[in-house]
Amino acid sequence: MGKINSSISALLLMTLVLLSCNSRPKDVSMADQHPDIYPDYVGVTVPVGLAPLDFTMADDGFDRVDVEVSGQKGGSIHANGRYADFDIDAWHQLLQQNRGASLTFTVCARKDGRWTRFRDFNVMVSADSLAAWGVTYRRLPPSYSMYSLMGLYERNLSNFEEQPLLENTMTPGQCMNCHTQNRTDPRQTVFHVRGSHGATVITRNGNVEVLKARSDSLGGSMVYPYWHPGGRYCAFSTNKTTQMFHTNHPAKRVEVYDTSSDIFVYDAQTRTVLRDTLTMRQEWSENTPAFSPDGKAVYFITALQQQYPEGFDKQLYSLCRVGFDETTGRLDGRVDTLVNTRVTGKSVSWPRPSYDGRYLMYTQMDYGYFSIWHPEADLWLLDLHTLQSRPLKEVNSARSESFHNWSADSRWFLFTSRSEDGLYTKLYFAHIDAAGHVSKPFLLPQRNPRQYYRRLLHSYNTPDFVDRPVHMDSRDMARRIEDTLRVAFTTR
Amino acid sequence: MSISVVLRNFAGMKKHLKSYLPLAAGVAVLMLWLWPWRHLTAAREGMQLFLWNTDYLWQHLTTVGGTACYIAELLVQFFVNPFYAALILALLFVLVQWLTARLLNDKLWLLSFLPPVLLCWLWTNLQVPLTPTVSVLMALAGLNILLRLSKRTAVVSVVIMFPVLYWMAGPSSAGDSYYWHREQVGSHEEMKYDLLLRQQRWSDIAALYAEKPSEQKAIRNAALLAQWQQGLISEEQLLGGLTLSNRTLLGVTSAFIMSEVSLQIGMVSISQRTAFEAMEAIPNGNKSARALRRLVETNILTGQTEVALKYISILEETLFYRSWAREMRHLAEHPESIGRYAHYQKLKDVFDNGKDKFFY
Repeated sequence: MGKINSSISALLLMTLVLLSCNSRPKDVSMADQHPDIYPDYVGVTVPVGLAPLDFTMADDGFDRVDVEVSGQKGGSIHANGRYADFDIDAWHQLLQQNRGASLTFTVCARKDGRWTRFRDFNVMVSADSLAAWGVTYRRLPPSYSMYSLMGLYERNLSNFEEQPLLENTMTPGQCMNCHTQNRTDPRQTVFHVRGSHGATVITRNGNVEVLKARSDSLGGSMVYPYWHPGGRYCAFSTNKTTQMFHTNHPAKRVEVYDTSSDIFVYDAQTRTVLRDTLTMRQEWSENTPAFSPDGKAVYFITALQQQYPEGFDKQLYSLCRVGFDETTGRLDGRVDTLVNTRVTGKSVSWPRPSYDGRYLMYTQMDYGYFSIWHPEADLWLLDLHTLQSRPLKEVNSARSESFHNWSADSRWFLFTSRSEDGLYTKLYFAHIDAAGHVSKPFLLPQRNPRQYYRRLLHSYNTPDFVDRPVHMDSRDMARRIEDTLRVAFTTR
Repeated sequence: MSISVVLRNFAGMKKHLKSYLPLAAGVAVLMLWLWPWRHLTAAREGMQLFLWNTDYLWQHLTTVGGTACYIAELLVQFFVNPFYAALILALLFVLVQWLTARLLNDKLWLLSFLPPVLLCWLWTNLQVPLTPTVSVLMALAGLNILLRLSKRTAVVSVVIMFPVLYWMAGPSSAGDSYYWHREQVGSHEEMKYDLLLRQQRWSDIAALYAEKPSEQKAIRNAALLAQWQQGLISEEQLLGGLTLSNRTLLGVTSAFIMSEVSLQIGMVSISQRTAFEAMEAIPNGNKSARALRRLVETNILTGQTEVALKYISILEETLFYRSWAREMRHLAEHPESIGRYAHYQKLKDVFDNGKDKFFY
């Protein structure tokens, strides 16, 4: 019996060896160019702790890749298969060992039975940690009125695991919006639910409050939120949003716009909407508020409200800043215009100050604020010391970039882009050093990324870093949303 | 004729009845689904995207009720062809009857027709997927096996079989494997018009509408288009009469009708939008091969070939849309060859040269 077992084992081993020999590069020809890989990780900068950069050849004609990754400070790993799939632990060890140094990727790929070795490329391992456990985002079809499956998710950035926080299968007919944590801390979050069981859900230190979705005194819902760093206040916009569709535009499908909007501050401690923080200007629409990292100011955008449809491309938003007194919860009334449409002739949206107070990132487009449907939308960086802006050419494409956010240490930022196909928004990351140099962005790593992204019929939306897992009890949250019980809030 | 002869003849008839009645019933079911109800099978097929890949299989095998759902979808993909659809439903009918009959004694034999008749009635309700039919089949097959085992083996088998059957054919946690709660699939009337539209049977549409006018906007639009195609109304009358209401986009079938109507009159963007809405209105979150096919066409016509290629690569993983998708891959990769498709060339000219306006 023992002999038979040994013979079988030997046979299996020989078969495996033969199989592996067959898939190893042989008779390799050289190509004097970097490999065209998907995702394009050539020359990117990554943090220690990031999930493996699995990739495949961009050309489907290649049926096998053989990749050797060597660290400048030592260590190496190897992958061979239909796509480069690295062992997670070995990858992490290699990154850890090469912090602040580079990894060299040697790629051989087989097409029509012939192997080609490409010019080696490097990936930099940043000395700056990511300061995040993962990310949260909304994943949904790039749809207009109907949404089949959509939800809020968290993704561990050290591996490929994604967990649903809340999906609309648990709350039928509802649409979840903008899961926003306070400076990446998920112990304090807010998100909005649209639909027949609409609500604004606020979590503070484990205490969940489900607020009424609409308030008559506001004349609308609490839509785009941003937490005050102290945790007591949350700035919101309230918007009357609608959409109209192009019949014959070569690049644009839809215009999403507001017929009116305003911003205000909500006091989560006393459950009060601070009415005097509403700017309430009839002819002007304020939107997308964000507190400064010291909590002493609110950034927002404002535009002279246009009539639609004729004025659709004339609604230009400027970037402004107004003082905020956290002891009284009042705006101080003095408004500075930081990016003026009269100067730029463009429109800005989604101001996001870095948490170290050095920069403010925003989206700039030709008009309007709903950037994902604007192919010309690009990320811009405002230096808060000099008040000079520059386009982030390092990450921008000919298609829409937007929905950016900073890591807690302000050394990394994420954003969504439609650069790949013009419709399905994907999640990218980039590093920014102390001098403001921005690295080439990299796509959110996935195992077998080509297949994953090709089959994915969802867009990534409103992403944010998160410094630890969210720990949301999905069933309990769905039950609370489906329930009619809502916490009342007052206005003052 | 003596009583004994009558009884003997009856027994002989009964024997033949057992052979021929299921067969006759099967043929009747086939006829029903091949003609008067073919629009229902066509509509059912339009509400799924069955992929021939191991991930799709694995995704189903690893969820409660997923195996039954996978088999049901596997069968429904054949509904793209009305004869296959009718044949499959007829075979399911006969199979359920046969498995039920084996569980009943002779006196109750006729009752074996109850489950398949009930299922046949459920097939006319598009809020009920085919999954419960497959689940019933699996349960009946399990019972038949159990009854042929010895008592001791049967007890052991029950212990093993029950959880396995539950895993393969039980209701999913979302509760949408047996019944779709959201009433978004559309009416039978809409499905009839939808099929006629796809087949471009303009006179049949006009006749149907003349026989029974409808207040449903999607149907009225289809009737207007049919009248225009027959030269009964002018283009101005057609365009003046068409209405695109958001209400028509809330249902799968009405949105599909709008997509067909829009493409026929050269409104590529509206056709694209409505096809997307139709897909997203599918109550269980399924995607739709039919909608993706339309989206491939419209994205090629509007010049968004990268999106078209994404959909093409998905359709290449289906059985019945694969060859069409491969043909479209060539067109998406070589948009200059659109002249080989007169229909698309005409639509592209309308899109490229039309004045941009807004619709809501």
